[in-house]
Amino acid sequence: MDGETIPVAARISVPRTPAERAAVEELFLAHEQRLGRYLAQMVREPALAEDLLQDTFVEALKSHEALQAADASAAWLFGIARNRALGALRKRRRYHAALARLRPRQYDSTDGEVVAALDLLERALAPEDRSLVLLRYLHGFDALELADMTASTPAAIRQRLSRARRRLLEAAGHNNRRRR
Amino acid sequence: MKTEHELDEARVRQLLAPLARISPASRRVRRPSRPLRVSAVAVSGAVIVGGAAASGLGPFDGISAADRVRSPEDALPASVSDELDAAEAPSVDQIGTRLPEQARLVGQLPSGRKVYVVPSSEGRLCVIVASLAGSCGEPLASDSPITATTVDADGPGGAAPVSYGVARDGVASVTVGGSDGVRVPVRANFWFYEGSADLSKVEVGFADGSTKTIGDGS
Repeated sequence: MDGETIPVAARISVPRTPAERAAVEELFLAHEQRLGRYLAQMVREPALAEDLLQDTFVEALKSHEALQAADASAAWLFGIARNRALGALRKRRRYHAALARLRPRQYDSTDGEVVAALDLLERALAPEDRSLVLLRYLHGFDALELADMTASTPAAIRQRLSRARRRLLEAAGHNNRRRR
Repeated sequence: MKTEHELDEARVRQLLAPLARISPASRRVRRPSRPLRVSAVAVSGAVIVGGAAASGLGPFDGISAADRVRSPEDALPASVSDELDAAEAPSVDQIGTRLPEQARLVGQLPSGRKVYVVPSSEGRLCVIVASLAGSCGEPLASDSPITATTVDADGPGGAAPVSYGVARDGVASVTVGGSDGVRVPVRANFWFYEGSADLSKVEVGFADGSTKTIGDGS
């Protein structure tokens, strides 16, 4: 005779009413594709990116009261996703499994330009700066929004972006007279 | 005329432009745990409490008794490995295949049977009792910090059933049957209770004194 396994209480921290949950889901759906693309750009591993997207959704559900106070909802969601991605990358490094987990890279086989851009980002920038650069130049967040996401100041974000740009362009082989 | 700053920004955008073609990740559809078919021993009322969103970075994450270098005592008995092989699902699903070579010994039941945790190829956490029972589910997470299984190997009239499970770091006790139930300590990420236990509502006690109730008692 075999054992019967019954799932119990998958999650207990969910919004209190169907309307609250629906509001969070609606917001998430509006930005889901952008969030999914950003996470894929950050971690380069489809399975992990999927998990992180799901985690972002769950965290958004749990934190829905923060949503009501947030001025920029998209920035708030991306802030959650960013923290999740950076946490995952830190943990992956800590366990010395980065290379193993990055193989196979689904993106590598599909588009050489994409792979080259991802390689350049990884080579030139630490994950925190990589995240800022992606959010600024691909996802359109300004320094003020990035400062809110990262508990920093717009001036510090601009300075950090400036350094990241310089490193990225140098790694890409761009000459720039100012930096000589 | 563009400034140097604007030119740099334009160059960066040009470098990153191909990344806009990356397919976005989509949310995974998660499914409930499925039982392992471990042995022909009668088992009743096995329950798993779990299923939270996990990082996907290792099913032993947060279980210090298992998240360590493997030692000889962690080796599953050959008979158990054979049972696992025989119980493998014909097709690989979200649980994937169990990886007995990565098993870790985490505890022992009053009967002397050893309890192991085994990861799966899809990053799931399996709890295996030699020649008795086993089940797989999502790795433990802060909002689902324990597994809970009860087995009645001898059925009604036989030896008393036993409940057991593994717990995340920071979990100090498990109260089966809810807050008015029986409280048992967690030692080295492992707990057990000898006797008939209601696992439809479990209260988890943390080292900092806080508690969390899982299940609704139904």
